[in-house]
Amino acid sequence: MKLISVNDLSLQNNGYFAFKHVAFSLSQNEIIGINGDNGSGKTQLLEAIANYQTPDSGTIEYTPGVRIGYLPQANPQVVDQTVTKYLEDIRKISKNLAVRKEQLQGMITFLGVSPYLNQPVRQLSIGLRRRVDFLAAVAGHPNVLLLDEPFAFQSNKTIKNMLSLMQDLKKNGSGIILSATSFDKEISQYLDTDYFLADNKMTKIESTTNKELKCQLIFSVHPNSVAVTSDIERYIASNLHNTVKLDIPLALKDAMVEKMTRLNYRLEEVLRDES
Amino acid sequence: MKVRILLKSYLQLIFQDFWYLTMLFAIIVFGLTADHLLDIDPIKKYSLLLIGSFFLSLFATMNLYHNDSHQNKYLKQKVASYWADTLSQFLVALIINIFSGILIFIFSLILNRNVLLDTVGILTLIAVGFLGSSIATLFKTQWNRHTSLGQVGVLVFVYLALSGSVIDLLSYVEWVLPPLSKIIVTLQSKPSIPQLLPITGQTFLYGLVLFAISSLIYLPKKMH
Repeated sequence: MKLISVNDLSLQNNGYFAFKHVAFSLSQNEIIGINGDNGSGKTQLLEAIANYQTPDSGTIEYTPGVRIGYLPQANPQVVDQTVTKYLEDIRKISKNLAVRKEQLQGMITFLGVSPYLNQPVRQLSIGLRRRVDFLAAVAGHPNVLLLDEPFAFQSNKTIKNMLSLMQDLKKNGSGIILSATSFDKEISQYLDTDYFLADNKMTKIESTTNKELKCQLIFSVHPNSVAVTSDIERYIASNLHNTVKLDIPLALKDAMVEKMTRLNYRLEEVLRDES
Repeated sequence: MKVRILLKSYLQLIFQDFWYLTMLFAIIVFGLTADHLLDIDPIKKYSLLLIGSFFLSLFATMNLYHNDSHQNKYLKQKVASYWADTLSQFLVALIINIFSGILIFIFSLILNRNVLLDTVGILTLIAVGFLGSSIATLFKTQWNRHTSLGQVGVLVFVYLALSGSVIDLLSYVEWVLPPLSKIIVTLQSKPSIPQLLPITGQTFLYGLVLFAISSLIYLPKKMH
């Protein structure tokens, strides 16, 4: 069942488009990934879906009964309460729809927040505050979870645990939208659909998960080659002996060859991943 | 539960940067020292305290909405109840004005054994403060979408509140103007605090109407 449908959505700020003609939908039991460079409009898109920004055109259709849990990129709220009190208050807002008290306690332990329960939230480090914000987003047991850069400032172990919690929510019928500058291979495995936001446009990356078709592009480096941009960097498999190898989804092959050529790298070989 | 969480957050925002407490303390000090420093009678001092109370609430409430627009955006998404938010704003205005009204009157040295005078004195301070808060609420858009409109609106309403009963031209529409100047003029013509009771009621009612109008103006068009 569809939870949210985004139709031809455009948003501009002071004459500059954050994104144009974005269209996609989020269903139950689905995890969507949106990646793109800094300033590509990911946060603005999530804020529009969470109802903080009014789009200039297009519509967002919410299926009746949709409850959104949102982890913002940066939460400016100054919380004087202790972690326990804050999370319990947030849980109580959703009344009987929220996760049970014991479940919340389990998630707190799972994400390693237990030692900080009696500390005021404002005294925590950024990474811990983001973990508390993540817990606050899931405490109401939302059926749509919007997570903006959820893995920033987190250790690999915490990231794994967060992904595991998301997987549980997904199995229980929730839809999740993750946004990040890039997703590494391990995170990509959890995504059902992946979108790439660049130049105000959102394009579906046809194959991102373990179902995908991949290829390896091998480029030679020349004296006039310039440093690769961050949107390419995440695909680098190796960069040794004047050879750059990129593991990319097959759908991105042509675009990537064009970008690398513009940066003065020469394409030497294309290897298809048949596995 | 939602109202309690928002109310707690609003009270935290009011006391967070000490702006309100500093202003309140300054007015209290004025009430304690004005007799000796300025050699003015209690009625004149009370009139100045009323104007001080009005500006204290106006600025404290504006500061509250300023902090709110910066910090509470995501809390409100979790609470997701416009009416709980509106009620919390109303309650916080009521609480801080009761708090400052009582403190300002107690430390003004006007307090005496005449219970009616004390009651009306405190109620008028609360009502005038409530009027300031309601004007700040009506134009809280200055911290969001319509910065200039909000600022001009506050300036116009403050001007009308202070001059409504003084300018002859406005005498025909006096009943629609914020009644602060009416209180001051009445107090100067008949120097007795208890006779302010009807205008105090009118002021409180005026504040209530502004709060009601605000709640309808800011009603969101689309909600989850």
